[in-house]
Amino acid sequence: MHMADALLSVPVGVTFLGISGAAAGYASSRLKKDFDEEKTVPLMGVAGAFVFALQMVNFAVPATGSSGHFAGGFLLALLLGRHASFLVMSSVLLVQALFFADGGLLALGCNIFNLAFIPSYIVYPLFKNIIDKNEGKIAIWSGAFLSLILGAVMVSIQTGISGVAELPFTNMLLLMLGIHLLISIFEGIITVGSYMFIKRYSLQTEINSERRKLKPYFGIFSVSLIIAATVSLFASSKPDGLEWSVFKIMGGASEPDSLTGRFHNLLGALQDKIAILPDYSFTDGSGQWGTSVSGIIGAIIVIILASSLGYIIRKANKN
Amino acid sequence: MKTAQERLQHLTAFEELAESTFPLNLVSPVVKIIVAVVFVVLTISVDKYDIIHSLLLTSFTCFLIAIAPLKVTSVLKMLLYLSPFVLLLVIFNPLYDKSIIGIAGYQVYGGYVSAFTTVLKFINTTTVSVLIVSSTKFNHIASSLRFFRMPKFLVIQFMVMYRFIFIFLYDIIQSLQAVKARSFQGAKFSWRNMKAIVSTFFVKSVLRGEEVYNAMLSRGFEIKNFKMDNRPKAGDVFFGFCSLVYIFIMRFI
Repeated sequence: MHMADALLSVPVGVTFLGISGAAAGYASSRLKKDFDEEKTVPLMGVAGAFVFALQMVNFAVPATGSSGHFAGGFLLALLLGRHASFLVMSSVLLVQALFFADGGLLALGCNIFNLAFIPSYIVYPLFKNIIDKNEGKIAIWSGAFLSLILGAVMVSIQTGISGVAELPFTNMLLLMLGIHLLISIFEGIITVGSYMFIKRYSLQTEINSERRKLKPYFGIFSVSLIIAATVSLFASSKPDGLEWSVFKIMGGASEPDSLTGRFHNLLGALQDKIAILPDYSFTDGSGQWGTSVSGIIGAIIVIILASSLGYIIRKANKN
Repeated sequence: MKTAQERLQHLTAFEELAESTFPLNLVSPVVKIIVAVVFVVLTISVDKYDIIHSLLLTSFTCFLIAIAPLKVTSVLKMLLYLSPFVLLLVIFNPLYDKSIIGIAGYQVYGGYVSAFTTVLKFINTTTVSVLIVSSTKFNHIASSLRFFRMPKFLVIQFMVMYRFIFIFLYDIIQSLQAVKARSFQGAKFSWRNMKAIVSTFFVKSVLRGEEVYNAMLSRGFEIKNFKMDNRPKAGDVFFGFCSLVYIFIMRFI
């Protein structure tokens, strides 16, 4: 699933390099706080080498003619916590990019985002509290599965935005998901197996020192954005049920004259002016990415509104 | 086991190549990384229908091959191994892009042209990255990353992990050899026992890692004072300047 330079455009590559670089700086600064030099550094090194070794185990993906391998981002997050796992996975990807040319230099930011940032900072906080409570195998499996699937979705988005491959986004997404669905199932199984067996042995070194509960807000927010961006591209261009009913009953696609008046027209004109993405597309009506951007903006607005409502209700209850 | 052995051989070969005295080995790693990054960015920025500039930039790749220690056959092997993902995505270009492009008086479908330039870009960017790394010692790469303000913790992690990879790969090869050698009756493979091998292997490696790291500390390795002198000399600056001028001319001519 490593992105190659040739499949990216410069703006996409540079943007993700910036995001991953900022995340690396943040992870480093957070890790310094609870840093035990003699224990943490070798443990992180070993964990990185362990995942690097596990990644060499290739298995055939039935019916596709391709093969997949373990990614290990979620396993690292379980073992080391989010900040350490992000840095370890980044260094694994750095070694692969430099010494095996697996993923290019410009694509490094995308690869770090897809394989390190997503499992460490998006998926791990979603499942940490559940796993801490009962070490549920299903939760661990789901975390590993979701990490890889979201990574595959991001590869499709990055390639689609770059516009180098002519394959339509929908087809590309289905192709990537088709292959990675099976790989993700194996990813989950290997993660559960490895984690359970490693946990069975009590190590002298404290593995994951993150004891406090994590708030999953950022994870939920990010997953919502990715889902909104991709699922909205599958939206049908046909009229919705209400529009269809109006068309059938009134015999026209537009609203009947009886409903249009001065006030109605005024509001309609105001809506036309303030709507940045009318009818879920860019104002010039071009490009499927308008639908995607609409999905993202819609999801952000809904999240902000829902959070604000929750906050107001909580305040009101306290009072 | 073959993969582990191949990876180990690959890394060892890179270590040996970096020690050789080819012209590219003599250039400062900082300059080489700057040249590689500029080359990659300019190569990727070429329009997907622009074959001429993509071919012109390939001339720089050929020049680097001539002065780098890595053999052409090794480069080709790596390209072949890494190409499936790129090919899988660009193979559809001729099907979906039916625009007509004029090349040297001939009318060609745009999809074929964009597929060709993408593969050419992949060859150029991958080859240059591999050549630069193969001609640079590992600790110089690490110190160059620090020179470019990469977080200290990430660089140290990168260094320590790289050292552990060698130990790990040796151990994996030995363990797999042991498993293979002890299957007397050719009995079925037991996942239950294999899982135990993997988990004890990890625990053993953690303890071994602590030992190795303590040995590094005893030899004066200190995280707080980790810095390396990496200032490019006049010759390096000259190489970098000439390379960048050439790349810019090839890109914008």
